[in-house]
Amino acid sequence: MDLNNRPFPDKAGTALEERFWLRSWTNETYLWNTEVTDQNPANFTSRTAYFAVLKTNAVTPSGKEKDDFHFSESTVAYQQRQNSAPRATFGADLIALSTRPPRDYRVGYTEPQSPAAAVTNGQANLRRGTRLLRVNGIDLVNANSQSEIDQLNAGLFPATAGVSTTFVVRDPGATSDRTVTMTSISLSPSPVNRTRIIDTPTGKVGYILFNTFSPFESERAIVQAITELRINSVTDLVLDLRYNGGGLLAVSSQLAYMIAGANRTAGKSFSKLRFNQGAGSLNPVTGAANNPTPFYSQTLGFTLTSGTDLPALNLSRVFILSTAETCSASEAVINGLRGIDLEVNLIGSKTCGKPFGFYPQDNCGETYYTIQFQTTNDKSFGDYADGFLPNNSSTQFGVRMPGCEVADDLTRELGDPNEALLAAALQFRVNGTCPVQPSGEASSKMIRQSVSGLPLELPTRDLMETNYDMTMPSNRTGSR
Amino acid sequence: MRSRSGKIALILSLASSAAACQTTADTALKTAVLPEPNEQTRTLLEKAITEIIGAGRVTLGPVDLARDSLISVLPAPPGPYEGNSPAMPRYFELVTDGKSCFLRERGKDELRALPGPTCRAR
Repeated sequence: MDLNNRPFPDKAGTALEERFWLRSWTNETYLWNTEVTDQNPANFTSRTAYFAVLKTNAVTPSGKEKDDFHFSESTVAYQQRQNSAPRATFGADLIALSTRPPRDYRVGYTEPQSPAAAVTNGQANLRRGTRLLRVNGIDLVNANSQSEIDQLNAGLFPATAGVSTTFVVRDPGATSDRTVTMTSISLSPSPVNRTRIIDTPTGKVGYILFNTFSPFESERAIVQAITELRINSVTDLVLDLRYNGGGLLAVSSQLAYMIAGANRTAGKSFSKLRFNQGAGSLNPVTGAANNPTPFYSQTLGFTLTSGTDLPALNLSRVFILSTAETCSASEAVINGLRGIDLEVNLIGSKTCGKPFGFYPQDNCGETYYTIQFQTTNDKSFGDYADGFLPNNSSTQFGVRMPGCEVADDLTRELGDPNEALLAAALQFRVNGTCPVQPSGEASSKMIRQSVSGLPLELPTRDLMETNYDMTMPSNRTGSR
Repeated sequence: MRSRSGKIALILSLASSAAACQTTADTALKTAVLPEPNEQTRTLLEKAITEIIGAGRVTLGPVDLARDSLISVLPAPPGPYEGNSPAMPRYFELVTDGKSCFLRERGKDELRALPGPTCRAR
């Protein structure tokens, strides 16, 4: 039995038969199956080595690998992550500007109701842009022994709730350091971190910081946020997806519907999955008919009782804030809305460029990830592997769209109308112009690597925000 | 919620999960709710759906069984690398022929009898 108490479906076979299975599975389901060089499984000694060659070697127009996501892991590891006990957290999302000495780690945002957001002596323990300098006495900026790195990781990412850690930090614009002690707790990251209603001379503008489509809780969270904006009669929306790496396509469809409304989406598809040509009209993985995904106009039963009509803002345009972390289902919102000719304006920097997806597949205790579909919109467009980017970007490759290239701004809170991306969106909304950017300014989100010293790596953001039991939403821990 | 009628292939499930098929002629089925749902009812539903799906266990989505006929069954949550996850709930309906209570997956005709709870047409 596997970790989910399901019997393994496998039949005992030889290692060679495993490799033959990989060959067949790739031929049947891999998106670019005709670009795979067929190689004899008998010439390989391991399944993972064989799987590694079962991919295309083509590149995108920018030179990026066309398939840059092809790997496998043990099924135990995959299921442990699906079912994992919540991780402890202080509730601060960290951004690494430099992972090697002199390191530069800043707070990207804090989670509501977290130790990081708690107020001590009239001041939030941590705020956006706060730089971490010392952790439990260890110099985070310059430490360079493995022992110190281990202590830093233990302090930053505690294994359990109830662990107290002392930080020396410096806030943006401050000239002196301060000391903060926090105790880790179990906390689910909020899909919608915050909403704002911004009064402007030309009407109310809604702002939503939406950080993940992944947990089932994201359905309820985004419906609540849109409801709040609708009650306040906003006439425009700034949707902040700058740190949203994606998740459930169904929720991205719901969000797109709630932006555009019934009339603009009637008879249109939000997305279609494009499989390899051999699949015909079927989804080669599930065997079901490959029907387009509509703009879902009702709740789907993830965390709201299914079948209730969704609220809608009925907007003709939207302003989306982006960085290179704006990925997958976030990009699907952009592409889906462009597919129905809704005006989508992009403020920030180029998105990551992931129109592809897959169904993780276990075989003999190994779970394989191979790209099986490309998401396309109602116009059958899905070629944005080099990302979406604002029209005035100096970047050569990518799909250009209206908007402004603006560097992420760690000096102001997200949702502050003076924060650079939001301010640019508000300006562009009024007169279609972009703010003047300092020449040569790079996104502060970019990791600047020095050439020597030990790196302190942030853990991979875990898109899975809930455990399998779905006892939502209280027992999630561990934002990074 | 619409009610459905027609020729229905019944799959009668016994507690032992042994199953037998039979066909009823022109059985009028209506969507149903459970007047007095409780934890036991929920467990029973989960067990029946688990057997239908063939999974080790299932997790129901949010549902008020006293009011709703449609029950969503959550998929496995997306893994950390699944940024474009097509995962969707599966949906089951509670239906009744006026005497017994059945589960039916949306879009399918097969029924599973629910021994125990009393349901009533909506």
